[in-house]
Amino acid sequence: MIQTNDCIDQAVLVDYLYEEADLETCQRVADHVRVCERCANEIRALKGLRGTLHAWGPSKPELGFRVVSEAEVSRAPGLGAGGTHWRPVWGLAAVAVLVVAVATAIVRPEVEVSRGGFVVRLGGAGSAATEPPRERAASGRSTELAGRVTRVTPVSSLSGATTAPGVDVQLGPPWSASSEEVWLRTVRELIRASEQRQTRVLFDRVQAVEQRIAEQRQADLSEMERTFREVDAEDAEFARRQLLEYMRRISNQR
Amino acid sequence: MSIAQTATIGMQSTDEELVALAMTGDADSFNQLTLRWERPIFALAFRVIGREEDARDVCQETFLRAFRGIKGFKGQAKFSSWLYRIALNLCRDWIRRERRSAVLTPLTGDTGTAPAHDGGSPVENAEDRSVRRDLGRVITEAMSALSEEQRTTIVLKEYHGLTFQEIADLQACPLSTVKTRLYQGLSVLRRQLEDSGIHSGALLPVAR
Repeated sequence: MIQTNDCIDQAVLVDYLYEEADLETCQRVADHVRVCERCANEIRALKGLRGTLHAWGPSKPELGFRVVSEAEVSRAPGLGAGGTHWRPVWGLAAVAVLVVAVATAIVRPEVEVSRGGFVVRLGGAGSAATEPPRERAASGRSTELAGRVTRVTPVSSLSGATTAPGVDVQLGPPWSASSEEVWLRTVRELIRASEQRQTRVLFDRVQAVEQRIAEQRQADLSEMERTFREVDAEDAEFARRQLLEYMRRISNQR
Repeated sequence: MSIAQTATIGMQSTDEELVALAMTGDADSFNQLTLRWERPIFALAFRVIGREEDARDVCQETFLRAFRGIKGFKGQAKFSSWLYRIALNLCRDWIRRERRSAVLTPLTGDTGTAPAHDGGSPVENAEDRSVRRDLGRVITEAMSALSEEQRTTIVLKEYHGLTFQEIADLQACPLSTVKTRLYQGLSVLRRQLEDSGIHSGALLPVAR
């Protein structure tokens, strides 16, 4: 059996220290400590160490992990369904921004507002879709898409359009209130995620500044201590002047 | 069910009740468990591997694995012990992957702030914070002198309050080994801190 010293067994000591010892053992240790200075010091030091250890820990993190169900993912605009996902909010925001950016770069959308609603024209400025939206909708060749895009009609199938390579997407009356709510919710989430990210960054910066200040202070104190140590009877006046000069200099720095 | 209702139920329910619901596929119940345990798991990962960003990843991966494996959870141990086991395995993988045994590198400036799950002190002033931060830095260095087993044992006992038996189960070792690791680890820490000019308990009161 390993002994902490000649008196108390190591296992008994940690049991006692962490209050897992039974009453009889506690009493035995307490009785022993009263007459054994060595053990009393050992226990006092370990208790003190435990107190010191509690200064150590991480900052308060922003975590907020949550399981996102398949249904939630499939409802989210811009994201496809794909099983149960585990995504932090910033991840969703980044994906959404990426998808929008890529889509914009590819289709080069143009928006045209008219009395009958508004038209989003995809495929670049060369598109020859000049008909009013209602006429196009009546062409009977539209394809239903889920979600916010209600119809997609190939431009080449429209009268007078023979060369444009793109497609027209009509957003008119079929735009539903529920899809609008989904959009709004998504936008709110994106904004919230962005705010949280900025707060985190700000917090990190403040911490860094605080640390730099503390380090500078420590360096100042060390320098002053060093200077004081150098002071002796012969060059006390010189050292005092040197110290004053140093303090004036760091004071000006701040 | 509204979020508020779910939250209220989650606050009232025990881990076992929430686990039972989560096993039926109820994601809200699992999210309540996550909310309850994410900070302790993060704190555990941080203290074992020493880097906040990596601890965050370990924490996320722990809950992801727990969610995927919840149906296989037999309930023989506490849910928290099961989480701790997953997290510690991930920490061990991380340490092996990074080829580090003493991984504690206090580069973020956060080390030494009031421990997250302890709530910290709301009235702590700048000077206290500074002292605590300096002390935290010294403790971080001292911790890096311990073996992974000693460090994990101290973290589980000191900061998470597990019993010796629970730690022995987690580490798959005899009870006596746990106590030996703890005592030897504390002794090393004590020496390290004294070498750094910090005498145990000189700066802060005993927490318990």
